[in-house]
Amino acid sequence: MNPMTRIYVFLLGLAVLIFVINMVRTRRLQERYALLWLLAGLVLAIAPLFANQLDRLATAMGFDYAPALLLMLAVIGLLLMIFQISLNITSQSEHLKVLTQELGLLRQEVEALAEAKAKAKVETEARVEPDELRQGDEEGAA
Amino acid sequence: MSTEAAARYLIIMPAHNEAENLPRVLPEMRVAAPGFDLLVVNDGSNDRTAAVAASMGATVVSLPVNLGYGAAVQTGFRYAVIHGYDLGVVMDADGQHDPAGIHGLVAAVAGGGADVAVGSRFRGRMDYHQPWVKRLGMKVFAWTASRITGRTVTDPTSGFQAFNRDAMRFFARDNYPVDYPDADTLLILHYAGFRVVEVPVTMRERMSGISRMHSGLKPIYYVGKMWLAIAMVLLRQKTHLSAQRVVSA
Repeated sequence: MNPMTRIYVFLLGLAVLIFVINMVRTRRLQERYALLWLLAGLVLAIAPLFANQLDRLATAMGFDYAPALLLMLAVIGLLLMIFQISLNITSQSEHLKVLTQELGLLRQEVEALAEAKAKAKVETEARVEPDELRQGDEEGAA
Repeated sequence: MSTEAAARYLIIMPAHNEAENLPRVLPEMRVAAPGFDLLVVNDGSNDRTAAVAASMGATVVSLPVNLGYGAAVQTGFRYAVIHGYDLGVVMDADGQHDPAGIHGLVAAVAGGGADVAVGSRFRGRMDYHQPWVKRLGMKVFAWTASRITGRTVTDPTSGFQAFNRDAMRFFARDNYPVDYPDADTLLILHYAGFRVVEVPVTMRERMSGISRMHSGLKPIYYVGKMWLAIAMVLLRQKTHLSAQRVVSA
């Protein structure tokens, strides 16, 4: 790896780390979803420091083209991240389903209660009215 | 929940944009099944489904967003469990299910001989044409379900079904598919120890609007998903602890 390329990749990794850490700091990214991204940034930042060792490892593993090892690791990392998101979507859609159902059921109950209350109020008013009239008569008589 | 009181029956009707069909379907149902309470689960409709259903005397539970058929039916099960219903009949709001079939379904479950009764158009009558691809698909799933349960299943796709309290409680929890209940649901019931019977019913052409599964790539997605669902039921049935029948005291 060319020394300049190493510096670029190192800086890119550093930038990713700073960006992700800042996102977590400002609470726009939760810690549990930040871990894989931090790992990715770390790998980017560290890989150029060990480029020669990586080259040798790749050759030892039978890669004709050494960067292919890096690409493969990158793809595996990306797949892991996407899978984590899929898991998350599943649990979130389950939560949303239950919440939506509960919301619908509760709203129905609230409306039924409100209706019953309104009805009861009308009934008590209808009952109270004659009493009040009588009271008024008594007062008038007194 | 008191057992002395008369048994309470609930009709559960999931409805998505059915404002045009309800004025015909609901009165017909009232005549066929007087004494049943009616719940319309408005599944995030864009039209006046909720208002129309309420104006016709139905109890309406409105889901603020569209969740899909299965989730809407499950909402109905939850309602039935909360309000202590003894029996629930699920039927479509588009007029496809002839309400005359309600009695056969209810009789099968209320008699105690079964926990779930499935209305079968292939044992009863089907007054409409179906594309052969769909027929074939249904046959394959019916055959699969029959082989696994050891009982003849002719109409696994039927959305015209009756459930007793145990079955509703079971599905109110987490065992009900979100989109379309099919052969997988029957297998879940089978492995959980519920007794399922088929009862002949009549299914007609839907009155208006578009059916749920006729467009584009949906059938392909559906068939693939159904095989996966069936395979998962088979894999899960030995390990999934919540998938056991709980008998109400």
